[in-house]
Amino acid sequence: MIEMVSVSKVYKAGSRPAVSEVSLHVNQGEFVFLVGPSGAGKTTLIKLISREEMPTAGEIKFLGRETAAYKERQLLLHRRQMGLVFQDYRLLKSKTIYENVALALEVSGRPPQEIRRRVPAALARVGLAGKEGSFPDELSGGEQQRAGIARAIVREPLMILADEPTGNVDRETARGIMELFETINEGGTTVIIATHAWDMVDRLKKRVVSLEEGRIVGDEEQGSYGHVH
Amino acid sequence: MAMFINYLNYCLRQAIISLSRNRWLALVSAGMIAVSLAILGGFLLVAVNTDQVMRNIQSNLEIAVFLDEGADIPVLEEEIAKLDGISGLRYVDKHHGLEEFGRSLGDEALLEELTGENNPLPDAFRVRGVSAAAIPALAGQIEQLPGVESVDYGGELVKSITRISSWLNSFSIAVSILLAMGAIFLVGTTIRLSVVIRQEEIGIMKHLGASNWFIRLPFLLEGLTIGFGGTLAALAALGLLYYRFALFLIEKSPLFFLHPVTSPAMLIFIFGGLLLLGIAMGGLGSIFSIRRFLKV
Repeated sequence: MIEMVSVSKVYKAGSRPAVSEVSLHVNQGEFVFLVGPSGAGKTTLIKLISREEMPTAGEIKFLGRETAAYKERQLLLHRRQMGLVFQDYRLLKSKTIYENVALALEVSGRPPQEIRRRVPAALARVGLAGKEGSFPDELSGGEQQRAGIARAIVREPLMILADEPTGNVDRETARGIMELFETINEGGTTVIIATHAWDMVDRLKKRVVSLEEGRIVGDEEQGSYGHVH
Repeated sequence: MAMFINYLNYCLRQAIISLSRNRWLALVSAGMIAVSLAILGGFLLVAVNTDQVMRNIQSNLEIAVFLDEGADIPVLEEEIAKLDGISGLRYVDKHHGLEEFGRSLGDEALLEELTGENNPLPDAFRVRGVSAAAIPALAGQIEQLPGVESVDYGGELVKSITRISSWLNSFSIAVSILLAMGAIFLVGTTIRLSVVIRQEEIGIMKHLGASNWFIRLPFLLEGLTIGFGGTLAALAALGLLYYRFALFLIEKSPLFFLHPVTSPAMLIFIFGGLLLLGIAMGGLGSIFSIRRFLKV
């Protein structure tokens, strides 16, 4: 599904590359943790896959197509095939939970009846049934992140990209969120998570790609956080 | 098509939410557009009316040829008729001249004391030219003929009206351009404010794969609505004022050439044009302010 070959990313000419010579292959339906200390390049890798950033060198292919060569229309389709989950949730405070989730469908021009059907289903799936009319500030951190995940899955994307999704919640809540990602992955959706939550990584026994100073220093099936820290 | 209607539905809702959130600034911007368009419209109406007055005057332009006491009228009539560019020639003796003057004043009784021996007017010819442009030369030739005391054709009046209207046109264009620029700038500020307020939302929408048009359209609709609202207010005020002014002139004006422009085609052209211009100003303001926010 994702094919990265010798990808490097330099933000400012002369500075150390955020990502250096990374080659990574992710198959459809895989669950991958990106782990490593702060500044290791996890977030940059997520941004490169979502094509928020362009590689300075190397090649990234999504479903066999080079992402750097996208025309505007293809870029939009690329983004609509992924669900992004952020550490700070990025929910719009002036909109209700329902409206936040519906926005993902509205930007794709889906009809109102489909929105009315899909949004409650997505919210029920993440355990937020009945919270449709609440505003983000009225929810706990864990609930807000669940709303963020509902927004990411409501379009039934091919892939979920999550950047430190449990960074702002307590351990118990983090466990629930990780279980949610696991359930989503069991439905066939590829899940890539950048995280510091070593206990979750160790518990779930999924593929672990370890990064350090922008380079891949480990890539294990059913890995653990252990050897990085 | 269904997708487009869904888009439009969403955009419309966003524009309404945004307008109600920034209603005061939106009102000021609409007010600015209203003022600038009302002034521009006012100048335009003055310009078309001045033009009509000029044409009325020119099409009715006559050379009044006042004759010396004892001039040989049949000879003179023959001489004048021979000149090139004459389209009409009429002899008006001093008695009829006084009657005409009385009628033009609207009250013949005022001149009762001037009849008979007391009539100060000379005998005269009224000469019409084939075109307004031919009048000055014709007047010059007639003045040279023996028995002619003086000629008068309102030349100075025509010249000053032309001068004033051309000055007025330049002045109004300059003022209108300045006001329009101010209005566009203000609409731009209103839209920029709503863009800044919604910057986070724009970023999230870009992440979710929203097209630039999807993001742009609510702001554009917001600007267009401000433009439309402002122009509508301007047109309502201008229309009412002009209606009163026209009615006043039609009912009260003593002078034949002071008739207002009432042609529906011309008025629809001016008012319709102003409406389009106002909407375009609103649209332009919003396009300028969102362009640089879209590079996410």
